[in-house]
Amino acid sequence: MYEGMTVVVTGGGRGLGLGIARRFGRAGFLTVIAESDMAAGDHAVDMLQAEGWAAQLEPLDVRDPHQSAELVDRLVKQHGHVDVWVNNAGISKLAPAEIMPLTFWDDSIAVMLTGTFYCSQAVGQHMLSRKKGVIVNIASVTGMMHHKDRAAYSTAKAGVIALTEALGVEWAARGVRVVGVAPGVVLTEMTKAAISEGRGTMAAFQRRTPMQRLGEVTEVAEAVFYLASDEASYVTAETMRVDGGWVAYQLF
Amino acid sequence: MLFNDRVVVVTGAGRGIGFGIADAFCREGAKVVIGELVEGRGQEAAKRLRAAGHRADSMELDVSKPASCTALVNRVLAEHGRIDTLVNNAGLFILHKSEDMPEADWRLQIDVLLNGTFFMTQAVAREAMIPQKQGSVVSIASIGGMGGWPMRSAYNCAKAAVINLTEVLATEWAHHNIRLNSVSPGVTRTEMMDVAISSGLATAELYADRTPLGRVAEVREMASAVLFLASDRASYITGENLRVDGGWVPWTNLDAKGFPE
Repeated sequence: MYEGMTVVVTGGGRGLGLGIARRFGRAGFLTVIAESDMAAGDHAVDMLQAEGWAAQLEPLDVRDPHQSAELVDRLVKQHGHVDVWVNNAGISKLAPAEIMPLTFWDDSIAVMLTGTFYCSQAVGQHMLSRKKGVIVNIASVTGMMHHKDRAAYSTAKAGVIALTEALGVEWAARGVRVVGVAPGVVLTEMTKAAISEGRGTMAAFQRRTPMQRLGEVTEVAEAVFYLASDEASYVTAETMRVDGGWVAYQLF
Repeated sequence: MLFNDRVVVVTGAGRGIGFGIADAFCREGAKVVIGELVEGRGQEAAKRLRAAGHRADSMELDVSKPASCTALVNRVLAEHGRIDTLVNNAGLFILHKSEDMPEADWRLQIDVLLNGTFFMTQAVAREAMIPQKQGSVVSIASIGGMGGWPMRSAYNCAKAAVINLTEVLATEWAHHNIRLNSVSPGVTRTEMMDVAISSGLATAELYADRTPLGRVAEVREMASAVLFLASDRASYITGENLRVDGGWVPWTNLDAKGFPE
């Protein structure tokens, strides 16, 4: 059903990005892992190919707009079109706001917010020219509710939610949908790192979640895939929470 | 199939979005029970579904009456043994300038849209889903519940409350393994849209122009969102209100023609 279609997942070398790539691969997409960490990207492509899915690795530092523009050009020449682009690349730089190193702030905004815009602009030009395409942005519940040490991450993710609405509205009539998924706490390397740095415990994350468990990568990937598909043909400029009830829960 | 042999109750499914939802569940293998206030309409809808080879039935239901909700739930349980999914779709709207809103019309809309959603969800949870320790509920909210529209004070308040009720129940019943979500449709091609147009509230062109996607929605686009959220594909999604609105809510329409007086 999806044979001949191409998806790009930024930061697809591991964690959530790899899970998203796997979901699209399973559906028949050619999956492009766009990574700055080539070792992780290589490993991811090997894994996907071993599972029987079509995958290729492309170098991408989302902070550099030339790289995303060139990647889009290269992929269009090679495959004819890019059907879905998932802005997933992210970093977690956590520190109390009053002493947060300014590089934490600058890097967080550069990768997650500005990087999402650069990539969206590059692939958006291509998608608008063929009046077809879906961009899925990975936001976060941290872009909707806030807790300590996450001023840079939260602000970048809130920006992604706003950007999803802005681009979704601007490009809607020209065939390009822009949607987002806001995961709650998902058991990825990033979450494990936050726990090992002492910025939250597994027990606290579970207690805070009405479903009393962390999310699985596959559950977020399924939401991304749903929104990218024609099943969601009237959904645009919207960010869907996949959070086990995290944001809905306001009391304790 | 996504809902093979699952038992699904859809309220107000005699026509419009509700019928489209019932039809979509049938196509995914579900046994569908339509709850309808107007029994003839429900029976007719169920007959259409059965004629297409599906398993569907209709029962009389007034969602604003707790006893009616409990009676339907117990009948479904007697026949099918369980309820896997409830879709709270039953609704109506009555346009009035707020200064002239008759008390009866205010109360009726709150009664059906808000109280009915609560009573029906309560009955299904109490009698079926909590004992089963499993279930999913999708309530039809509205983009009207996320902002102001003239002449819809009761409708919009009730829909806003449905969004919040969904969040409350999602947090309260997560540990019973019950997920609850809402879908907020934009303007959808149904008889309800025709009523709004014939009442002079808007024109078809105005609706399309006001939507970033440039068109109104089709019923199947609402049904696919409901099925996704109701299914195991959405196993970590609860307390969410999914807008299916073609970008309506976040758009600042600088070319707004304004609603007719």
